Amino acid sequence: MIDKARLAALFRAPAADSCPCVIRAVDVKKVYRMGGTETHALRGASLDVHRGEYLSLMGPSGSGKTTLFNAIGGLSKPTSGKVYIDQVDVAQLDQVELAWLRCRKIGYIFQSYHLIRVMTCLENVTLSMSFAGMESDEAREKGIFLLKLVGLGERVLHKPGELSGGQQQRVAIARALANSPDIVLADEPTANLDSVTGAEIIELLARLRDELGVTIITATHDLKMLKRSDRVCWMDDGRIEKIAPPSEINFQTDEFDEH
Amino acid sequence: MAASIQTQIRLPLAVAFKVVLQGFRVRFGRSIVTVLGVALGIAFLMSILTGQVIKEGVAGEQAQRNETTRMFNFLIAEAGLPRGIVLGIAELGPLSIVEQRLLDMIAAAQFQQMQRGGAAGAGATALLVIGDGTLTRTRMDVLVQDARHRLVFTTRTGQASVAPSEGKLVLLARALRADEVEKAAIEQRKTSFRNAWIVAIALFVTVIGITNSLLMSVTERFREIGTMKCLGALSRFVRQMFLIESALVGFVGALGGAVLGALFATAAYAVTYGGGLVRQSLDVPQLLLAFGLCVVVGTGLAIVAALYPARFASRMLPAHALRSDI
Ligand SMILES: Nc1ncnc2c1ncn2[C@@H]1O[C@H](COP(=O)(O)OP(=O)(O)OP(=O)(O)O)[C@@H](O)[C@H]1O
Ligand SMILES: [Mg+2]
Repeated sequence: MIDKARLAALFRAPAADSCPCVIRAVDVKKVYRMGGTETHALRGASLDVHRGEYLSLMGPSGSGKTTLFNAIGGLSKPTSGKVYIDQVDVAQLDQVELAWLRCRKIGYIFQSYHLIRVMTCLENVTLSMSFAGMESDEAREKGIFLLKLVGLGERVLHKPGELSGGQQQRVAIARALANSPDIVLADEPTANLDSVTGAEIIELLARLRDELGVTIITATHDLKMLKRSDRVCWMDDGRIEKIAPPSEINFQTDEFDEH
Repeated sequence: MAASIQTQIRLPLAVAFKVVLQGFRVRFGRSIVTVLGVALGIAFLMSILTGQVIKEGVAGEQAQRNETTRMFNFLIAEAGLPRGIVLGIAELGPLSIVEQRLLDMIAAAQFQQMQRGGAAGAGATALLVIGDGTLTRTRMDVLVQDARHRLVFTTRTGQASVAPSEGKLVLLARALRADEVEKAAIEQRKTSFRNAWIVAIALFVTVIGITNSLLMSVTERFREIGTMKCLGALSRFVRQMFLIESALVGFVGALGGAVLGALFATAAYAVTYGGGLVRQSLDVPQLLLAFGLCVVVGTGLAIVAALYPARFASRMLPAHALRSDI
């Protein structure tokens, strides 16, 4: 069923040594067709993300951040252009390999959490561990550890519906870390958190980057988050307008004021 | 790494099972309605099967009773009323039910004298040969030797290969005529065709009901399925989830429906034929077979009904499924 040799070849480290890019998007376009109208959500976005980098994506609502996340996370197929993860063209992966990638390689934090309502927090966190084949005792232990890490040690057996928005967001963060991914894609992970918890989450993500070399890409409007990141990427109307370290960005200009 | 990829294939079946049970708990009301749908369809099938088993049993029972009475009356007509008769009985082997009952009837009629064994023929007015076996000519002659009248009744063709040297051989059994056999067969075919037609419609409706409710379940869980796919669930996992759900619904519904159908049909026929006759003629192994058939058919149909919804769910693109709530 699953071609082990191929997977091993696809995700072997040596290829990564020669190029520091863990994610590379080349002229990615995405057009949504609904009825007669076409929406150009991405109009040719190119982006290189280095291994162990903390990249922040920002831009006005509807500028295509979520669409770009879906494309580089292997959740949707771009209309044109290429996405490479660890030098591998995502378009060439078959269904099983894509599932493996989503399960092991990438941790997603979705803008609207997407927790499974009928499951407890712990089950939400351990679900992808069981997809990865982890024993249930081990998964349980790790799940509890992760939930404690995001400050939800007391809420392990609650259903997401019984939690506040911020708490749900933290469950989503714990879930994204379930299989110790190489890459974390976080779509506005601190949008619903108070500033203290938000800062804690930012610290957590930064620590993952510093200590474990996890590559982190977030969409955010949070100044603290932008300042903590290695590079900030400004998007507008489906294009990446500029990429620069936070020190080179003037956060006082108009384009930041409106957010 | 290779080992963990291996386990990715095996483990999720248990996870799928867990998720399905969770889904039942959350959507309890609707699950019950779906189960009831299956139960009704299967109850219908089971009641028809049970009816057939009971009808066959009763018909068989009645045929045996008629045959016994007819033989007895024939015997009396030929040999004379019980009062003056000494009846010798030669048992060749195991008795059929009809023969057994004939003996009971004879015993109840209180013939002047009944004698068995080697001396069955001594002073007898008539000899009755019963059981599975064949009388040789010599044995026949020995039996008939001391009889008062040399009148021999046999209950089966082939029991006596030859008539006694002196006297008369009477066969009590009556073979069905060819046209009678054919008429019964045609009648049987007509009923089973009609039944098959009604049952097919009922089961088809059941299948559509399950498919419909599963499709609803898929739409309702669009986001959930999308999320699972984003977390690395294989399409096969999603497919398994719906197949397991449907198989469980089918199994539980079929069990309930089979019990319901059997009870209903038995009660209905007990009213028409009388409880005693139904109880006496009930073919229990046949009934259990019908029960097993119903459970298998119910579960099987539920799985068939789930094929399309499961495929539909498993083919969903993750990003597409995620957007459905926004
Ligand atoms: N499934 C879809 N069908 C049609 N149009 C879509 C779809 N998804 C996104 N769009 C459109 O594509 C554009 C980009 O959307 P996207 O969700 O990527 O924006 P965003 O930058 O994430 O915005 P926000 O900050 O509000 O989350 C929007 O104009 C949106 O309407
Ligand atoms: Mg968005």
